[in-house]
Amino acid sequence: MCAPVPTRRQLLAAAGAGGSAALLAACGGSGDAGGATREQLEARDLRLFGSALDLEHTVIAAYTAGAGLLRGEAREHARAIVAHEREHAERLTQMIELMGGKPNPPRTPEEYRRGFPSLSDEDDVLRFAIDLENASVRAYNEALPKLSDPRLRQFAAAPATTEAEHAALLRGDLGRPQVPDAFVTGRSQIG
Amino acid sequence: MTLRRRDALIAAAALACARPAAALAQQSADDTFLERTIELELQLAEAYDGEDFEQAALFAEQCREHARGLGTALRNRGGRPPEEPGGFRGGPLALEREAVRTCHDAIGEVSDGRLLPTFAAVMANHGQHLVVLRQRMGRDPIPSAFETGAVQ
Repeated sequence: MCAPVPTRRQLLAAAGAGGSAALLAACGGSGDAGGATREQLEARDLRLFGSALDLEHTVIAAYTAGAGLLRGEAREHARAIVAHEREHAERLTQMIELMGGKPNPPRTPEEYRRGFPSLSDEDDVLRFAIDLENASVRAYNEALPKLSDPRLRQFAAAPATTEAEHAALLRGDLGRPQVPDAFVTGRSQIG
Repeated sequence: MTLRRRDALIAAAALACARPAAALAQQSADDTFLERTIELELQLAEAYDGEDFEQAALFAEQCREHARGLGTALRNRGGRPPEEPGGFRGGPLALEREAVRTCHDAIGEVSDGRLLPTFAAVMANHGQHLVVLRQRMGRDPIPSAFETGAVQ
């Protein structure tokens, strides 16, 4: 009765988290189920991961758009960060497909650029990148309690923490305090 | 009382006992995660008190802030927060990784969904501490796309 269907099992394997959460995973867990059916919960999981993927695509496009304005260490950091964002996007795409959904492809660079602020120097790029990293932290952390499965929540917590790390690194490049808040929710007023 | 009715009553009583027992076990598991994380936070704060780099005092205070916040959550659940650091070993880097790992485990295992945002916010802060520590040590500050505290 509690056993996940094979596709679900594949999905959980793809989430990359294991261990003693298995029982909770199979029987439901601590998420905000609210009496929803399994189908409704899975549809919500798909929507949340779809939104996260859209945001990852946007972040990749932003780093690509600003790369030419970065120099030295900031440029190296941005390269490493965008490689992480690509890994996030790949993993999310894989999971959405395993969940039976259809991942949104990225938009064209021009479509993204139209929505971006004007970037004229390195500081502009870093500030915009920090804003996007904070938005990503917020998106993942707000999704956490809504995901139906403990291992999906564990999956989301890992890139959320990595995005917070990116923000700390970029704040350092900008000469700002790297860790301004004890509780990192992506809603920092300091940047 | 017929045998059948008595059996039914016994079964109902067993069920009534079993449900709170399971709930209590799960509450206890949640409390254990809170206690363990608080102990780690206190130990980290002590470890940073012994460091002299620029952000050490800030990081110590942030860890104490975590301990206070998690302690309030534990008290609200009827628990009693530990007042002494746990017996974990290692310098700030090892303790920060352990803190990230513990929060990550908690996010996968706690039954009270209200604890999830707190563990996530604390985990992300420890990830940021790791960036600063790794930079100070000349290591790759962001070695993994999926930070779980596992990568050195």
